Amino acid sequence: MSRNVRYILVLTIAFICQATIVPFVSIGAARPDIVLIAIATFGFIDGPVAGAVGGFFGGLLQDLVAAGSLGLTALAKTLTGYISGQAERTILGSSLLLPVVVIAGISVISQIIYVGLAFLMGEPVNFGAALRVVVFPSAAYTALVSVPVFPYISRLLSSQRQSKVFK
Amino acid sequence: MYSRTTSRKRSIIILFVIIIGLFATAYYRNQKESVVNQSQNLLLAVVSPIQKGVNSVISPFRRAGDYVVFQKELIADNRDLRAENGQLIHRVRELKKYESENKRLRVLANFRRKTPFKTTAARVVSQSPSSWQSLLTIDTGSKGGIKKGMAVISDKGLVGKVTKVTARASLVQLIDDRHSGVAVELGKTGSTAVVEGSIDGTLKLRFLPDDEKIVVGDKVLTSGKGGIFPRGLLVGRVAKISKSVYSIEKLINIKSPVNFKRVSEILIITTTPVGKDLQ
Repeated sequence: MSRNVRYILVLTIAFICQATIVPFVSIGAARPDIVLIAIATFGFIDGPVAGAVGGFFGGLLQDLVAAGSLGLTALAKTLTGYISGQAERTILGSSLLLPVVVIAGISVISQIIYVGLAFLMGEPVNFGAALRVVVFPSAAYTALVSVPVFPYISRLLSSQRQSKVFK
Repeated sequence: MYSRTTSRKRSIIILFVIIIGLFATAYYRNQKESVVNQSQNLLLAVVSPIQKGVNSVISPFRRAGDYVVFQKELIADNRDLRAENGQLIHRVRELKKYESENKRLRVLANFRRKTPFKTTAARVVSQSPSSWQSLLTIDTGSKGGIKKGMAVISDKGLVGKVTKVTARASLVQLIDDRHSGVAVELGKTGSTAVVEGSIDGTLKLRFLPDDEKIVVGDKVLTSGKGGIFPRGLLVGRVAKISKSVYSIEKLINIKSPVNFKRVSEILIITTTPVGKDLQ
């Protein structure tokens, strides 16, 4: 299976899980972001461009099934994918703790970008409530879910680059 | 001749002796104090503890023997019973699910009969995948007569409005979504205001006149202004009233009777009581 097909497959499965399973495992407003875990892994393995491209398409898919402004999640996730790509090669191969902590941080950044963009577009945003109710709980939840999910995606995508495989 | 007669007599005497002996034994048996009975009791008293002891030693081996003999049969029975038990548990779960669904549908059907609006029923297939939106995906779309902007209700109250329609599915924006705003009026005084959703999922009553006397428990209904929600639908009740140091407006929280996380069947209002299409 070619590398690009693998990337498309991972992103599609992550999106399907996000749209079908995640709503049923939400705790309050906190939801794990499986698409973000996939995008972050793209960035960790192949750098900023892969992260950004994956982020754009993953975010766009999420925008298409939501009722909000089209492109908002796509833009937030593109930037997030690019940022995660800055950690290319430094994350993989280390212990599981580092990628999980980085994913939590990326999740916070992604959601702050989203809220900031929404605010710039004139949407009413209560930053305090957003951080307290959504951003931090969702980041923690995403980090928790990344513990089993990240190594799996990482292995799937890195099979042709064994030196980078997460162990 | 002599010897034949003597032999016959002897036989008759022996027969009599046997018969008398039998009678005598039977007689003594029935006598509690008889020698036979007493001997029997004595024998039983001696033998029975021994029998009991031997039996207690032997019986586990006998049971073990039985177990060895029937082990295969028991294992097969156990496997069958476990499988049957699993199937029955599954069946009971299914039946309970159908029972609760039946109850919910019955309530919804009764509500549908009572409501003055023309409605279409739909099933909720998913909730919002994002933390930033409060949405439902329902299994009815344009082929079922659904149009964007139609009001969505449950037997308990207002749920939201249809925001996106495809052929066989639609997206419903819940009233607790941060982009949602519903024109409402207070059930008691008729004063108008707006109920807005928020990030934390609470409903806020806004733009109410300052001098409005409002208390916890007051009903909040749709006002019919805005053209989306028909008048008189229950939005919720006043749950909390507080003052903010940052705002001159009172902070009023509304509690919806609808549990948005658990709603599974809804009704979409397709026409108003006078038959006017909502869209």
